[in-house]
Amino acid sequence: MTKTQRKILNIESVHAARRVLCALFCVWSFGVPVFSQQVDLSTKLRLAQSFEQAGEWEKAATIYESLLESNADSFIILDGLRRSYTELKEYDKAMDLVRQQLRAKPLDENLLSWLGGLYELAGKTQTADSVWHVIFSKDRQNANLYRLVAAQLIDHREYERAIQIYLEGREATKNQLVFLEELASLYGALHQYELAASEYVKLVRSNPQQVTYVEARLSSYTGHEEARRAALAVVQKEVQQTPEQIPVLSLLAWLYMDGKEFDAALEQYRRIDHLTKANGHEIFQFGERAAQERAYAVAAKAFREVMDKNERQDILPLARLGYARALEELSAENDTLAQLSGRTPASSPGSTENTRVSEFQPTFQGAMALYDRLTRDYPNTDIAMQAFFRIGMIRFNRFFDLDGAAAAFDTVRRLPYNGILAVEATMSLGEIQTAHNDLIRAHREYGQLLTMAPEQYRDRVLYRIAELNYFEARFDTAVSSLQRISHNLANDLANDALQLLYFIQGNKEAGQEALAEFARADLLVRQRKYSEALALFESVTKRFAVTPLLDNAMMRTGDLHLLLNKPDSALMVFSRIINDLPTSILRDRAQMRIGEVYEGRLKDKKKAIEAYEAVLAHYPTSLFVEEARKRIRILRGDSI
Amino acid sequence: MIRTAIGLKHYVQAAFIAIVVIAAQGSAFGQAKLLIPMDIRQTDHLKAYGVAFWILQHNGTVDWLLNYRGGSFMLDFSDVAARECRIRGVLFEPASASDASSIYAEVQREDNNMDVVRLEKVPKIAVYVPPTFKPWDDAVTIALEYAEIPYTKVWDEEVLSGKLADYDWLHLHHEDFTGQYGKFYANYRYAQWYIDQQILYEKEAKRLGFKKVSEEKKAVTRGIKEFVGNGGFMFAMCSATDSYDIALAAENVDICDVMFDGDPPDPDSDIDIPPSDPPPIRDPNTDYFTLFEFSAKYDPVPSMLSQNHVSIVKGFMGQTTAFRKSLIKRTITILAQREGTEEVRYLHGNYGRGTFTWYGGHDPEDYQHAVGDPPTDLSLHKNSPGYRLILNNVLFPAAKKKQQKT
Repeated sequence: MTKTQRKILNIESVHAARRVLCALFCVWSFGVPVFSQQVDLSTKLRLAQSFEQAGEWEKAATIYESLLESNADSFIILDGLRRSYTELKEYDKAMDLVRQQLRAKPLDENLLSWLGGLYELAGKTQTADSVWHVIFSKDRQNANLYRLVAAQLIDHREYERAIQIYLEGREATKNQLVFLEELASLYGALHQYELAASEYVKLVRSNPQQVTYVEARLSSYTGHEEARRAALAVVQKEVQQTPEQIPVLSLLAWLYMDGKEFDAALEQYRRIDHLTKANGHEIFQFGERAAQERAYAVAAKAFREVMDKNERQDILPLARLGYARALEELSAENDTLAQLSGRTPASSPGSTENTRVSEFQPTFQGAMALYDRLTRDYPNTDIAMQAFFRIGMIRFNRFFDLDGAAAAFDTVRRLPYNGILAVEATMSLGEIQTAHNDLIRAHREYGQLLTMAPEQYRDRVLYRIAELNYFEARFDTAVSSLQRISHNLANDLANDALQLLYFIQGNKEAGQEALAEFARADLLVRQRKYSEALALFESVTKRFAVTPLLDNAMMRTGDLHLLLNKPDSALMVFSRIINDLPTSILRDRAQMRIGEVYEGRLKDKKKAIEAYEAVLAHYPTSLFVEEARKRIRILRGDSI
Repeated sequence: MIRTAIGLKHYVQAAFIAIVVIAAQGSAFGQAKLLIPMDIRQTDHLKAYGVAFWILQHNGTVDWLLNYRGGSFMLDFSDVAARECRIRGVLFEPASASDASSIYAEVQREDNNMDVVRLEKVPKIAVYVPPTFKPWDDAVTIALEYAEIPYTKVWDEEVLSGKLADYDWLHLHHEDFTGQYGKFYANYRYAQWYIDQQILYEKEAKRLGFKKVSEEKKAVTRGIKEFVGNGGFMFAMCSATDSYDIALAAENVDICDVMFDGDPPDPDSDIDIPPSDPPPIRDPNTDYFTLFEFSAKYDPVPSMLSQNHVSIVKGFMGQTTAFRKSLIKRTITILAQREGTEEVRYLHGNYGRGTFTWYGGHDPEDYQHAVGDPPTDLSLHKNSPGYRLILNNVLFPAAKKKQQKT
């Protein structure tokens, strides 16, 4: 580069620099007011919006009005001012604003929907309707336009008219499957359950994946029986017309289950099972749900069907176990009913070999026969372990068959599949040994549990051991165990422990011999040797008549008379406690028992009421007064 | 409230008149009586009101011994009455004719602030509730159910068709008469119960010919006002108290926002805008209010309404907890107030030929009852002083009107 060239370049760069500076000056001198205007606009806009948020609509409107003077076309300002006018109920001004905007965009659907909304607010519904039709005329096939208008009406809580708009839209679009959810939701909100269900059915039919969603939506109101019935009628009709639509059948079954109409639900699950070729799986699942709902009869029916099909080996053992369990529960219900009606419940296990098994005449023997077959068909499995455990429970609790129960529980704890069942079996074995009068072995069973059972069993085991010590007249040892249990007040056993503890402590002064005799009689009761226990308690009442144990022994005597079905003798004993033992703290209990005998055993309502009234009159501070009051009111038919 | 000083001569005259009146009634002397004491010895204060009501239902009469052992009840002794007391768990004391006359004499002595009010009319009780109401939603219905006092449910249609005239006493369930649904919108707008409630109210308003719920509720408040003006007794708790007043005050103003009635409130509406000062912080351990003592002989009405076995009652909150003292008209009788504050909890006033009693808070045994909380089991609060105040109001219309002594 030559010197001249360099000079020229320098001159050019100086000129360029001057031009840049000039431009910058121009920008600065003209741009500052523009920039400051923009800052002012932005600040004012934010202020107006703040006033809006604070609900100060008049102030917001004033600022928006001033902003609009210099920014006539700003959408943000127009929109803010429209909102403010609307809140101030200055609907005419708001409408003028929207009309002004419409001049630029005459068929803008959003602007038109606002205008219609303003007419609605001003109470000009006919004009609003004509605006809606202008919107629809843009494109009658466009579903979103109907949604836009319906949303305006919903905002103004005009639900019925929103429904009309959707229905018009459906006609216009010639699509019966449009607006299903919207209409179902609106009908549901207006408690028009049948119409809501119709829409939901259409939804399920058009999109089977939605069945769970529909169930969830329906569940928001099927708690009202009237609503469930309405939905049921619609779904039933649909099923009649299209009997092979599985999602609709599922919906029908769900509605039946929701209303606890289990038999009807089972019918639907049968159809679903058949149509889906599930080979019993649907029916099995229904059986499990029904059993959870304690509907054992229908659960048994379902399990029986799965067993009869005999097609799904994977669920067959579970169905058989479910069936046996349902039968056991049905037998227990029958037993309770038998006891309430004064009949003697089943007392002997008999042979399970040729026992007739049916859910229509459920018996414990039948249930045991089923468990028995399970143990043979699935040996060394979890199924067998559960079956053995149930056999043990029935034999022990229902038939007091100690050897049979012991054999079953012993098998349970030798199987490795379920640790909790093994612990429960050992607990029961301890009780069986107690009933067998083999207290040493009972101690051994419980001792074993103390070392191996999970922590939550500890207090239960300790309580059983304390009871054994009491039966064996080792009262001090029993007391120390009971004290430990009673310190844990969160435990359900704390009350039982306290009761036995106070009984031992309160009657120690009766003397070791008297208390030991009493405990021995209690053991006989535990062993269900009621006659022997009665004789022993009667002997205690004679031999230790001047000890504090007397009233307790008499109470036990009365209760044993009841167990031996001698209510008259029981009444005599209870009356003697009341009349002959004026300082006894059990007189209120005895009086209460008299009422219970008249009410429950002798069915003499009048005498029962008299007896309960005597509790109230003579023992007003007794713990039994609340119950006595309740019994009187039930017996005299008060609505309580 | 009129407090009149009476000289000794007047005392003697009054005592003489009282004795003559009681003797003329015949029931005070010569008849064994059954006293239901209402002091701290009573085992079930709330059921005791039910027994008194039951006696009235069976054509008996009950003497309410104001300020005598916590406002005790005296009735003729009968085995049936004694048995009913026992069955309901109400403590009673048999009183011989001479014991009873001593009690009456003590009550009537001019130097004792006590008096006898004879209850002889079974009040016809209506409770204003929506059809979806549950008896455990509302302290008054809980109290009535527990005390076994029968009541009839009424709602908008009954009020608007003038059926309130058939009743003596009206309780307002914790309604929001402003048409804003208790302002639960903020927290419960998506809750099914809230949605259902709003739809139900809107349908009912439309069915009865109103465009908006708020307009319909205003008509209902006018109906209730007319009921009181014609001699009815109105009792309200919680939000029913001030929302009733606000609805009347907002007669020509739309105070409801768009979420309540589909359009914005009138711009100049500030009637129902809460005060900007924050509500006082409350501590359930220190929140107690004091019942005022009134002259039983000269102010029997406020005396009846404030009978209790304690004079200081545990406070409790509601959507409306208290009324600001400085804003209460001078003609209103303040029955209870939180000491050292402006908070009036319990007040009574007259309008036309009737009266109204307002009690702040929602549930006297649940300090802060929230939506969805379990109902209060009154069998665990048999001696609740707060609930007693409610039941005083129920028996109050049963009282025979006496000629004023002043």
